[in-house]
Amino acid sequence: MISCTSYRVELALSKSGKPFHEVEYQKEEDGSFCPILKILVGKDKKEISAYADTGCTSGLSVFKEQIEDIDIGTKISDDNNPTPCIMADGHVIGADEYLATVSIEGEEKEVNISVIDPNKDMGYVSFKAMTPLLGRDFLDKFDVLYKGEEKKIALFKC
Amino acid sequence: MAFPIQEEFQKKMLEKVGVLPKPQRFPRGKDPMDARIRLLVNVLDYMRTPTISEKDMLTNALKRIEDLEKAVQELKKEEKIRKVPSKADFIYSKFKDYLEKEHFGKIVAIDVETEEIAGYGNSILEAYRDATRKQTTKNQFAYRRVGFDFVHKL
Repeated sequence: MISCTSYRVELALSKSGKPFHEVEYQKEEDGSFCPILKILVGKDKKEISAYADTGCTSGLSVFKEQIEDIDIGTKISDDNNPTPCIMADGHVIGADEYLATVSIEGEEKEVNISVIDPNKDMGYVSFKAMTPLLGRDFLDKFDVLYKGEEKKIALFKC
Repeated sequence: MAFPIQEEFQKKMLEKVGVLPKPQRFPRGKDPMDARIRLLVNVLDYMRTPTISEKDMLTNALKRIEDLEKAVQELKKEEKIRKVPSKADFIYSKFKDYLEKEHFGKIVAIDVETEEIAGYGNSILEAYRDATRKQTTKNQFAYRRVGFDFVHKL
């Protein structure tokens, strides 16, 4: 179960029901507490701090400038045909896709990494197509469990 | 040099394009013939002028300008939404009807050289693995989500 009283992130539960990894929310410069996790990326196991964002459908999403010196994995997308990624404001930007390993506390997973290139502008979608965002001002009032395999979200009263 | 205020400028523009009647065309002269022509032209101008007051006309015209400005904004927004299609988009559109009937919401891996749909899946990796399982010579594809203008949400 996940506790929200101390701003803890308990990202994954083991079969025994206990999390294998648990960290405090990090306080950002603007004063807000955020669920930021340190992960190891690519062949060189480079450490990256990333926002745990359940609205993001990619395995890991980074900007091109952020990983220029990291060998993240095998490129699996066509150079001239980037993958369209929609931002929260409806802007569509192209990304290159990589097959890579991302690990946390020894748990290694093969995922796709989307490397967003802001120079690859692919237009906008209609705002009507956008999904409203349910943010942490609401979610932090509960213990939230994302059941990844079952594709379910469970809310517990704190 | 004094610049006209926005309202005066709009009024001048409206007079120029014929939405508002132009001011009297003939200056006052001493010639009696000029005076008669001036009177005739002014009568004709008056007859052409609708019966609603100038103030109402100006209000209507300003409303029309506002509507036109809104229309321009809408068109600009539509222009922004319209993206420049890539080769992958053209290939997708070739199979669009079939894909949207049979694989709606799935991700497809598109081989841009053979112009074929190479693989299907619920994620990019699934589509990629499906594509490479079928043909081993290629390992880079373009990806599209069937029925949508984007693959990932960020």
